[in-house]
Amino acid sequence: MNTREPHTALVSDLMDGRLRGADFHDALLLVTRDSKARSAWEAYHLLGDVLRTPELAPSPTERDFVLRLRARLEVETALSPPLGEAVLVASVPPPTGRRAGAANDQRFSWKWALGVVSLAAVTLLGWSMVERALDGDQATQLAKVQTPVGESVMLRDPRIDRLLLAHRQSGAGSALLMPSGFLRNATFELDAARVPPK
Amino acid sequence: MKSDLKHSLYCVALWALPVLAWAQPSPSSPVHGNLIHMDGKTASRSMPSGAAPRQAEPTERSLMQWLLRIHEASRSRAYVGTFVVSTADGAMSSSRIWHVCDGEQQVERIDALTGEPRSTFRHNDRVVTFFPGSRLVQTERRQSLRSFPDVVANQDVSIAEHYTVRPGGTDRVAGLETQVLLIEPRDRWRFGYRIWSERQTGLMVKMQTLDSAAHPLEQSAFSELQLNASIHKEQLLGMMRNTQGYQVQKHDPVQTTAAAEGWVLGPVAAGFHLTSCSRQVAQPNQTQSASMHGSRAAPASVQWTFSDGLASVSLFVEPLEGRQGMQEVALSMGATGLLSRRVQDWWLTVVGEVPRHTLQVFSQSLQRVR
Repeated sequence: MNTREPHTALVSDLMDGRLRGADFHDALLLVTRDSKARSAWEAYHLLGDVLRTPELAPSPTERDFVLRLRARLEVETALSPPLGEAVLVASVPPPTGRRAGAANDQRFSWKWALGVVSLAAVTLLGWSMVERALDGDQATQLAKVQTPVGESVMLRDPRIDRLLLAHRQSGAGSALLMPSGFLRNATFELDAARVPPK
Repeated sequence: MKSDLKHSLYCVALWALPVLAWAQPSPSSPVHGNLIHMDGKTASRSMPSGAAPRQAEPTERSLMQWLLRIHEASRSRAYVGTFVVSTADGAMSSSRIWHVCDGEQQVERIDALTGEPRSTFRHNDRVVTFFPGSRLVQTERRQSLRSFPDVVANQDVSIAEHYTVRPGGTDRVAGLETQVLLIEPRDRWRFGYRIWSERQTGLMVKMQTLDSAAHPLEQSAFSELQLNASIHKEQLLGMMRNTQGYQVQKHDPVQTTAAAEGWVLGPVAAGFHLTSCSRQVAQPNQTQSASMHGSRAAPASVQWTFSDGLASVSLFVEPLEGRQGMQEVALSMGATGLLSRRVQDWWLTVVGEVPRHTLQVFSQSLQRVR
């Protein structure tokens, strides 16, 4: 029988909130003292985060950072209360008057570290997307109005609508005007094409 | 001996055939202006579509040949279909199309299926648009709807100078087999296009406007198309003439010049030439809803239109009066971009199916002289 199965099954139950009372306490102790159980615990968390957040797909550099951080956290002796219990197993009331000591602090720090990494990754990706959207060489994908201060506002200017219509109906001698261009101009609904700012 | 002779003749034939094939003159030729040679014959405007004894293979046709073929296809057959316009940011509009032709007479009806109900009728270059909601009818004559060969003949530059074409494979659209064309710009001042041309007739059934990375900004396509439909031209013309119960508005812009309006037009983006300059006459006594569809621009506004043969740009100037609170505007919808800014006591607006930096060049091209 595979000796790892009980560990992973117990850790899985702990993650799913199926454990109560003494079983819950035993599972926490196992995770804090047994390296294989701890590995399973970390793997489940990482899997869940990666599945929920594409930006957390692990890269070699991130994994190295995580391993170094983990090693560092194991060295430190944490004294903060076990806040992680209420976070990790929301359906189980946290054991009262119990301080789980260094193991709980590591769990809490793990989530913190992953949260910081994911926030940094999302911020970087979001910033690069914003930079691409503001690139003047590419036509913008969103229909938005740029005010002088750079805010996007919903456009409802009849003057703009009139000018767009006048342009569409002029055609200006395009070889693509007939038939497709004329049909496109007659079909294209100005309001349908108006996208509210995100 | 006989078998040796046979063998020798066979070898000679094997060598001779490729040599003879290589020696044939190429059927394709560079095209300039409006003279097109297809297999040694000059293409005429009355060339019946699909009746040529041998049509050039897709890879052999030049850009102008393709455009003429596409243009002729719509002039020589009737069809009914559903037309959908969609943009990269998810906006979608659709309409129902009826098209019939009778010799040189072309009649079309376009019923919008999205947005405000409206029916657009076209009889050659005359366009009548009904707005049932506001009981308004707009009528006008559009110079831009002239026959394509006339358009080509009047252009200062050839489309082929700014675009290239190459086959892009085949595809099936609305149940029809099509040849895909990639029209690529030679510079960064214009967009590219991908066109799906029905194999038998050449009719354009789908078109995409592409940005510099060849990503579609906008797509126009028939989602459903019935070729050679039986439609009666007179029936459509009767609907077009029936304006009972509607307020009729005529749009007759006055042709003018930049100098007459007090402006000087400087250099514009490469390849674009001026196609018209007109002043919109003010429409008095308009209702609130009619004013939206009524005067296309404010009183005393001027519109310049430009084209490079495929893309078009409009330049508007309007007096500032009462609009001091307006802010500069930059927006895009699908392939269409718009820039609006203040120039002295005027608002200058550029609209076109071109990249943003091309619009910026146009917006700098007008100078006020008085």
